[in-house]
Amino acid sequence: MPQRVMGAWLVVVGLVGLAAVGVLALCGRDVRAAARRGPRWKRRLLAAGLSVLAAFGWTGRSGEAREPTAVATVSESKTGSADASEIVLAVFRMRAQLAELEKLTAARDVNGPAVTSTADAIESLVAVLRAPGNVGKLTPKGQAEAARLLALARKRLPAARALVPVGTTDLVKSPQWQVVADAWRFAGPLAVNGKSTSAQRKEADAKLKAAAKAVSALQLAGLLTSAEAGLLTVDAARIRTEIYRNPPTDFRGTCYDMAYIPPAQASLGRLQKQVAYLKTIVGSDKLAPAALDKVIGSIERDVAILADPKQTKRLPAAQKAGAEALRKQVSLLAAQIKRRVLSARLGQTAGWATVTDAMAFGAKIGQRNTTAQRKQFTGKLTAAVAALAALAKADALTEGESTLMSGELQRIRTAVTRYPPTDIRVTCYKMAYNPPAKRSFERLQKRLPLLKKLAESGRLNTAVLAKVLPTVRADIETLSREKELAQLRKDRALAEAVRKQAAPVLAAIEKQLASAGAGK
Amino acid sequence: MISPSPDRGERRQDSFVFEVTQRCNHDCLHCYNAWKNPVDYPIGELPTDETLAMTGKLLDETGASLVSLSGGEPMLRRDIHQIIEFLVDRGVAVNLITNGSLLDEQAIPRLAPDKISVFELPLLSAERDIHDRLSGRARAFDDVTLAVANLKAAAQRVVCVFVATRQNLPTWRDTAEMAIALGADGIMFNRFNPGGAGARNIAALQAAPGELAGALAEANEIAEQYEFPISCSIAMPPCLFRTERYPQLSFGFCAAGTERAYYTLDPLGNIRPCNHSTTILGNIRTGSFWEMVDSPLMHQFMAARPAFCDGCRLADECLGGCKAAAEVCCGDLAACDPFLAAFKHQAVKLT
Repeated sequence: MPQRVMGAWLVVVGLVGLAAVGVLALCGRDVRAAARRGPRWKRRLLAAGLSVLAAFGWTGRSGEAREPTAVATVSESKTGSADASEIVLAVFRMRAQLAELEKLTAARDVNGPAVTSTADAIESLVAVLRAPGNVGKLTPKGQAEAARLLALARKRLPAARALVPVGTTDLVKSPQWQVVADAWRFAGPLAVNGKSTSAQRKEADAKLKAAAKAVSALQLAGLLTSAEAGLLTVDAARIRTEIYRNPPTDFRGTCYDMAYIPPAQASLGRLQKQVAYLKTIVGSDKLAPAALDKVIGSIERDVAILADPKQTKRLPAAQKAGAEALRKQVSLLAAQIKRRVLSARLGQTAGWATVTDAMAFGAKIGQRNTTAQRKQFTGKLTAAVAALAALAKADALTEGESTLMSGELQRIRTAVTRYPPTDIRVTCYKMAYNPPAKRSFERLQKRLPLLKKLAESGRLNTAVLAKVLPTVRADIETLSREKELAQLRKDRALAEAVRKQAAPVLAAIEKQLASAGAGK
Repeated sequence: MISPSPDRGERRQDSFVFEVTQRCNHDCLHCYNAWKNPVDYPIGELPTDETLAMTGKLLDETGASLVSLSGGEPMLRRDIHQIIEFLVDRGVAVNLITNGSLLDEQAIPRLAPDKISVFELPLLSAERDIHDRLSGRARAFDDVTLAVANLKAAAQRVVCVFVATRQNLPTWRDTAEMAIALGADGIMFNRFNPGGAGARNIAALQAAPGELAGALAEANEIAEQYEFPISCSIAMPPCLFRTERYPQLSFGFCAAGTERAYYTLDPLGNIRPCNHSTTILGNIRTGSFWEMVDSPLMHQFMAARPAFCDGCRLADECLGGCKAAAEVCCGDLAACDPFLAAFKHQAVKLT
């Protein structure tokens, strides 16, 4: 009997629960979430309703939620929307890919392409999870798992990439260089800014640590010299020191145990380490502009600090003279290296391509060339001159180098224009054959406004003007002859227009001459 | 009257300047003639037959295809037409460097057509007073403008020469436009290069690099606007001028000793490295041109460089500016070009 009563009671509770579930579902509420919140009677009632539904095979979860273990963490996403399920999937995949990465990097012979593709896949999952609002769609447990995986990825990715065999002779294209560049890109601004959170510091540390491994790999592969690697190492230490010079922004304590080192002292210490590397680089034929780009700016900053009396006054007297000598030496070395870096980069600029194009074209056509080639060369030369000016302005060339190049362009130009063009048979090549009508309208175009001005100014003796006018008249007559105009083809309309404009100007000058009395 | 050419081997000198006379009817403030320097320079002229004989010998030895007749004022020589015809008969192109005062309507038909390749006439200013003052003669402006007009009416090729001094620079644009209006085929923008009478007038004539740079910028605009050839024949030291900023202009460096050199023959047969120099390498009537070119004197001329240019990347092209000007103004070929010396403090050496 009591069992019957109990059974009936369960059925009633189940039915009431089912009804409550139905009502909540009709109201658009999240029944499962509601079953986890509120007073116990409510949670039990709804759980009963859900159990009845489960007894009929309805789970209220989508397929992916049936996956083992992970389901326990992430299946309880706050919403059942497609977005949330994508994020859940990203977490699953990230976990799998990180495990795969660990396996790959633990192998004795690292499979470079496999590590790279797995690392790339993890990067894209990291991007999904870092997108604003995405992780917030997960349950608290899911969020914690995502955070754990993100931290793991942050730690493992750079280290894994640093292990990939270099496999290239181009520093910038190597995966290791990407690790180095990424570390400087991330940590550099934090160092400059002086403000960072604890998490950012951890990430910077991980990246710099991986970068150190990458630098070693690149040095072993011969893509960086030991001097360049040394400079990068010193600079990495600088970045870290500067990141840690203030407490993290999320640090609530009142004290911070980072010892204060005066900037001049720090700069001096770094330059003392770097000077030998700089000397080696200046004396070497090899140069990795990408690596030097990373450090030259901070070296210049250290040099500037040592040039600032306000900063150097904190140095002990015994160090001051040495610091000044070192500053001068490093300043000179850094300037030399900077120039070499800029020169190495020069070849990649469009401006340089314009200059070399003009030179190559000039050299190609040489001293025996046609009027068309000469015209083409003048166009290229003008562009090259403008490019040289732009390169000098951008500091890619010194004034002297720009002048030197322009001297070279002038030399080529002199050679190109040394003899008359090959398509002209007269002695003076400026007298190239042009149809007479063309010569006439070109002359008229240039001269008439100037002659009018001269006539008005009274500068020229009227006898001279009177002598000049017949040549103008002759040009107008030439442009009046059909036979001459016929040779002009496309310029004909222009020539006729010039003639029409010229006639009244000529008449006005003649009138002026007549009133002044020609032959004054 | 074509003389057979003796064997010159591979050597050839394309052109030379022939100063047919030392007499002149102008007294230009900027005149650089060698005999106007305070040095003993041989003065005189040879009779026509001897003049033609020595000219022929020089042509034979050099194989030159261009001779620029200069002076003094070449049109003052009574036998100038004979000299020109001699050269034309030899198949040589002739340029005539003249002040234009004697190129009247009678003279021009004798020279035209086709005897003279280029007439080079000074147009020192669009302002009559300035031109006349610089030329040292009244009516010089009217004469030269009329000569240009007459030459153009006779379809001759004319290049005007503007000697840039502090006195005429303000009128440069107007002067260039006047040359274009008169129909000139080109203009030379030559900075004042001290020497001869000019060496006595440096203070009055020498313009500063800044003023010249402004005029070069204008010249560049004019050349572009009118598609008009403008060249700077007197070396503009690259440590004082950024010549690449004026792509429409042509610039030259000292050509002494190169195949572009304009060795100069004076009326007595003396050969000099250029028309600005007072160094006499020898006499063509008694010596061989190539022996003069190979002489220690010429090597000394070519090798001279101012100490200031040590370490300059362009030293071998620029040769330190005009060494002849250094020679006549400072008495030392290896001294600084007086223009460079005056503005050395502004120079940016190309190391």
